[in-house]
Formats: sequence, C-alpha cells, structure tokens
Amino acid sequence: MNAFKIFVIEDDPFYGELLRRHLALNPDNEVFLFSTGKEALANLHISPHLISLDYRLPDISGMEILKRINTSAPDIPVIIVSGQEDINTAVELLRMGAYDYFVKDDHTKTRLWNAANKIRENLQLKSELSELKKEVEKKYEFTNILKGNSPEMQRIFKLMNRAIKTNITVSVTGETGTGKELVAKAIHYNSSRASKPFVAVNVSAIPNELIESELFGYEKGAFTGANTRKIGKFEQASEGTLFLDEIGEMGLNMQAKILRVLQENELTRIGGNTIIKIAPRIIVATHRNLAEEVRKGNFREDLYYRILGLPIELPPLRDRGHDILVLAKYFNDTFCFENEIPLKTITKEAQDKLLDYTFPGNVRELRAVIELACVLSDIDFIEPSHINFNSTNSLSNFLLEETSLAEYNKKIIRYFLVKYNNNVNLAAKKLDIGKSTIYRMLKNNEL
Amino acid sequence: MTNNSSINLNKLRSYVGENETDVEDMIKLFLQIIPEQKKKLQTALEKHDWENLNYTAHQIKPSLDILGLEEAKEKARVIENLAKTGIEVKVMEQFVTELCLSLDKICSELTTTFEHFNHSGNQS
Repeated sequence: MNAFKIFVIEDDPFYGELLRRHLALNPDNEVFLFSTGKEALANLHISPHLISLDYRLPDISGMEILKRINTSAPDIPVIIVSGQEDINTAVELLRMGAYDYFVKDDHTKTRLWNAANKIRENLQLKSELSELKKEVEKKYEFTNILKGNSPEMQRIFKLMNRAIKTNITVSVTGETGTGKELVAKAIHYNSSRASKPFVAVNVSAIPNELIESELFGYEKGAFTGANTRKIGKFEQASEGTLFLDEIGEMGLNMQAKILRVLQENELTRIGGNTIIKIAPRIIVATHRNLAEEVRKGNFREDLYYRILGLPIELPPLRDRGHDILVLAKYFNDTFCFENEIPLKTITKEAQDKLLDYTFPGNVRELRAVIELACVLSDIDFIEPSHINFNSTNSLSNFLLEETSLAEYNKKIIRYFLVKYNNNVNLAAKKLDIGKSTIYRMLKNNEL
Repeated sequence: MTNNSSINLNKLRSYVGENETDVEDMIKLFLQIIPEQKKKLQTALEKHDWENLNYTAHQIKPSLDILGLEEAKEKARVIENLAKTGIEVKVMEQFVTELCLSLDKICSELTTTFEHFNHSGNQS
C-alpha cells in the first residue's frame, strides 16, 4: 500500500501542527494540514484515507464540511475532533456518517492514533481481499479448475457456460471424486455473482437436528444455548450462491422446509417472526440417483423437480479416456512445483498402467496416486512400480469396468496365469475349468 | 519538564516525540501565535464582539492545555462561556485583561525556557 494520506483540518495553527507532527511519527502516514474548510475541500482530489476535522472552523461549519465530504467522497472516514463536549452535536454528526467524535482532551492523541491505525489496517485488508478475490476468480476459470480435453468434458464445459449466464438452479451429479464442488465453484466465480459469497453446505456432514438452524439461522433466545442471533447459510448466500452438497442425504422433513424456501424466496429464522427475502443461486450435488430416490420414496418429487434445473452429470474418470493422462501430468507438475522437487516424467509403461485402471475414487484418487508416485520415485521418472492403487473395494473396482462376460472371463484367466507363473494345469484346476479352454484361448490370442 | 512551575512540556513531548528540535519548533510556533491571539481577544473586546471573543477563547484552549497551562486554560474557558451567555463589559474586560497578562507571562517564561534550551545544548 502507498502512503496513508491524512487530512488534518484545524484552525488553531499550534494544535493543527501538533496533530500533524504526531500522526507523521508513523512513517506510513502522509499528513496534510489545512486551516480552513474551503482549503481542505479544494484538495479532496488528493484522496485522503482519513480526515481529522475540527468541528469549529472560521469559514464553514464542521457539519457542512462533513455533508460536502459525504457527497463527493463518501468512502473517506471523517473523525470530528472538537473542543466542545456537546453530546447532541456529537450524536447528530455520527448520525450524519462521521466515523467518530473525539473531544480535545488528554486522550485525543491516543484515540486519533489508534483510529488511524485501525482504518489503515482495514484498508490493507480490503486491498488484500480484493487481490485474493481476483486470484480466486482466475483460479476458477473453467480451464484452470477442470482439466481435460475429452468430448465428455467439452460437453460439461458447454453446460457450465450455459449455467453462468443465468441464475438457473444447477444440479450436479456424479460419482465421488468427480469434482462436483469444483464445478459449483467454477459456475459461481464465473457468473455475475462472483463478488458475492459462495457458501457450501455438506448436508451429510450436519446432524439432522442441527441442519435447520444451520440453513435458516436463529434468533437470540430461540432455544437453550441460542445466546446470540445466528445468520443461516441461506441468508449468508443471499446475493451469492448456496451449494447444497449431498442433498440426497437430507431428511424428508427438512426437504419440505427447503422446498418452501425455494418456492417463496423467503425464510424466517428459528424463533423469529420477521420474513426475510433471499435470492441465492442454488447449486445442488449428490452422488445418488435422485430420480431413483424419488421412486423409492426417499426424496420428495416436488423438491426433485424444483432443484433439477440444469442437470450436469459429471462422467467418471474411467470414461474420460486420455483425460487420465492430462490430469496425471497436471497433478505431477503441480505436486513437484509446490514441493520444490525436480519435475518428473511419467513413462509410457506407467501411463499404460494408469489407463488400465478404473479409478473408483475418480479424479481424487488419481491425484492421490500421482502424489504418492512423486514421493516414491527417487529418479526423474515415474515408472509402473511407483504407481500404487489402493482402492478400498477391489471387487467393486473390477465390476466398475462394466465389460462383457467374455472379457471378464479373459481377465480372470489372465490373472490366474500370471499368479501361477503361466502353469495352465494349475490355473485350470483353480478355476475349475478344462485346461483345453485355456489352451484354445491362448491359441486364438484371446489372452 | 522545565524548572518553571506553570509550564509542563511532557504532554507536548508525548505528541511530537523525544526529538527536542520538534519541541523547540512547537514552542517557536506557540510564541509566534499567542501575541496574535492576544490581539484578537483585545480587538474583539474593544468592539464588544462576543462571538469572536468566544471563538478566539475557544481556539486558544487546546494550545494552553498541551503546555500544561491549566490556569490560563481555565481563564480562556470562562471567557468562552461568558461570551456565549453575554455579560457586562466591565466584567469581561477584567477577565480578558487577566488572560492577556497570563499570556504575556507565559510567553516571557517560554522565551526564557527556549533560551535555556539553546544555551544548554537542547537539554531541558
């Protein structure tokens, strides 16, 4: 941040010079002293970050100067420093928007110094926040957040582009680890609501008895332990986006309440009477098949149609073909860069191993596999031996391939041949099939 | 702290820091301003211009406070209040005269203190 500019408007040359010198003790401050209101107003183009204003000036009253500053530069905090202990004047000035009102006494120096520090820190935080917001927006550009060139992903990008142009509700489905929250964030940070809050709620992580207060908030005294008012997630996201993750886990009772809020665009905090208008963009996600849940009676049909909006179904990683390699390279490069280790190359054999795997944990699992490989490899390459799959359910993983029975048979026989060192007799015996079957398949190059 | 009983430079130092050059600068400024303020008080009194009398007395108070000049500050406060409420000219004359005398005395003492500064290598 550049110099913190302070205007001291003070008609007493001695006291004005005193404040100027005092505030200038902080080398971050650049202090300008003016003895009349006119002179100060004529220099507002300097854009001070703080104005210390003597209430009683020879040319224009403090109140009038405050009015003019509020009109031309309403963001500049104005502190009234006055010799008068008139509570009515102080209240009126504060009501008009003065930042604070200090009486000239033994504490003026400390109060002014502290106020200047506080305002400067706030400005720095605002500036940092603005920079961070820009970074976040950049971070969530579609191509930065979702890697992949497959037709499946191109289809997803098209749908997301449609989503950002309106406030339509978006329902994101997909297996665990496919990036549902990333899609929600990407839509938010590329939409007109980007500067407003993105509020994420994982419905499955909140106990049923707490979810209502989390979502709708409550008034002080609404129940035992409600010592202060709490603003709920719907209100927090009012002008931004509310992301309801794992909405399929929500109980039927809560579903009815959510439906009402979504239909009416208003809510009442628990224990309150005031109706609060809200207008968040809603994005929901679930790994469940909600239509199936509706059929089973676990999910309200009316809520299902209300939240369906624009459906985006994220493909599992195994259906994204060479995106696996694009993502593997991205995770490899990122991990090496962040951990300041030499960049590694994924060998052809390691790539084949990755492409042969079904990734039941999807992109999240691929990332973990690559990061582990980077750690395990002491050389400049990632080889097959560095690639370790630790799927929690290998049978599920196997079945996820959804291939034909004939293909499953081949895979099983191949597995047993490798396991028993190509001993056809032993493999046939273990599988309880004739050895001629295996010989025939070998002869036909089926294995 | 000076050896003088009425002037206290501690508050001034707490504002401008321990650099004695700054303290000297501020005393110079005070010595330059006070005669002007005194003249304004006297002119306002001669013209029975209570509004200006009130304004000048009000304006002078913080400077007196910074130098620990409680008695003079109190006199200025009384004049400020009396000028606001209205009072007989003779009574006002008395208060203004008293304040002007005090200011003269303060300036004289400060001049001595200031000379003492210079002669003792800025050691007060």
